[in-house]
Amino acid sequence: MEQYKNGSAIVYPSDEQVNQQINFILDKSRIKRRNTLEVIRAIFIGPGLSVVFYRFKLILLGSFLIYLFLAFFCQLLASYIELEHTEYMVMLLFPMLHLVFQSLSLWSEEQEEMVELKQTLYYSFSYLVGLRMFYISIFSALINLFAISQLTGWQNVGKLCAIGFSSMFLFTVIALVLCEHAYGYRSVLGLSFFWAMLCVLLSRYGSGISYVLFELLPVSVHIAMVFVSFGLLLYYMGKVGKKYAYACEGY
Amino acid sequence: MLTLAKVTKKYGNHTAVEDISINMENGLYGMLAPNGAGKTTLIKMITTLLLPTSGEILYNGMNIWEMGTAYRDLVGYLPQQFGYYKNNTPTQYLNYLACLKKMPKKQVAGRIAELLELVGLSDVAHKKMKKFSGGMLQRVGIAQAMLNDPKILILDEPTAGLDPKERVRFRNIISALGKDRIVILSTHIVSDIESIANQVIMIKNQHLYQMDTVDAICNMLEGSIYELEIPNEEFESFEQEYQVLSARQESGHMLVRFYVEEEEGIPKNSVLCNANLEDVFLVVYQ
Repeated sequence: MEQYKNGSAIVYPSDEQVNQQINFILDKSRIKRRNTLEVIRAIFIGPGLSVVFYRFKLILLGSFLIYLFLAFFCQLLASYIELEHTEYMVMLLFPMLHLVFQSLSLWSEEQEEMVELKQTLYYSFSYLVGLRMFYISIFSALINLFAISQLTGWQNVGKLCAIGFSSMFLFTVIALVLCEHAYGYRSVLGLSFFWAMLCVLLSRYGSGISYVLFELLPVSVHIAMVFVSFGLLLYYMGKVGKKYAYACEGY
Repeated sequence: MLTLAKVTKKYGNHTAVEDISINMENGLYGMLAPNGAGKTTLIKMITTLLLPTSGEILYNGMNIWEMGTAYRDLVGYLPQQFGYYKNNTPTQYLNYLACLKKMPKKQVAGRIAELLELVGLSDVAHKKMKKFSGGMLQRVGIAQAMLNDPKILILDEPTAGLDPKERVRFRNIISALGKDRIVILSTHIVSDIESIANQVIMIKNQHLYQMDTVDAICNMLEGSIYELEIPNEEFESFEQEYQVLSARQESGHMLVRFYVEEEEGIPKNSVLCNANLEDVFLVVYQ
């Protein structure tokens, strides 16, 4: 009974198929004039925010409440241990709304077993996760900017927010890379835990790094880091969008 | 035409599938193999969920990975673990997936109504899916796979867990779809494809074992399948000597169906039978 078939002979394409393939290659290599707005819309809006955040309103609310709790807890802890550099608290907390939301949303998607199906669609799962990360990081930046201004006054907003924003945008890129290659809430949770531990350890034992980061480097460097990290986020989002939502449209 | 050209997938030292070469045109293809044989791995490569370690998958001569989203427009997929939102109605759920498939808004409502009619769920179009039976959910799964009128429809173990009535209903829906598209139905349940598949693809030991019509595959065992009535007490010793495919208890004796490779050694009074696809499955994957 052991008679293995040696596979089907690979059939040569017909003339029609060859012509189709030639046209496809020519079309791809042709330089196309694209409206910049169209490109931005295709990559950064995609199916629309209501679809991107479909069924995540409760999770967004829950994430916000968890974030408030974390912020309150960190503030208590900082005053208890007499934390010297409040900047570490800012660095730790700024990405947390974003990370908590991503962990919960990815966990929810896995529980509902939607990941595999969505990954095969035109707007794939990876692309939707990337868009969510992008918009939540901007939302988180605005929330944190407001919170810092209320807690420390507008005069202290500059440096603190610059530190927070750059850590958050860099974080979004790392989380997006992780999600693209190992999509799962565990990787995002692991990243959150690692970041929290790093900030706590540096606040206790990283006096050298603290000095460089918070006292030596001027505010302008921190602001430049914000633009660099946001630019990196835009670039990587564009890359994911090109790969999963715009790959064949001559961008 | 969908072409798999020497497709191999390895995970470290473990080979899931090796050197699979298949051409598929419009029609229904049953991918038959036991659990763990590599069916789902092959399907995941065809749906771009996995990248082959080597080899290519071509659609009309074009590599599917280079086609990008243009290929995804052509594919409809019903995964083995089909996910859905429990508090959604089928209409809401299909609307959402239609957005993710980038369907034109004007077409969506009409297409959803048409598909719910096709799968027999028009009456429950606005009922929450948490109240649906397994069979109803699988039918919603077919509807979502068909939303974009795909040229390649892939169904991974779609009838697992369904009762016989639902399986027949499912089979009837699927059989009509193979006329103007490639339908790949992956299963280890022989009856799912025996009556509807144009061709059966069998995978064994990570390689392509056979790809042919049901009749041609069954003819491989022509002259090798027999039935015999034996006393109950002789069944155990009979089982050790011959490959028993099925055994049915009848009054005072067992009716056994068995496979014999060579003509010598066929028990007296054995009745030669026509082989069916289940016999082939049991013999090949013993």
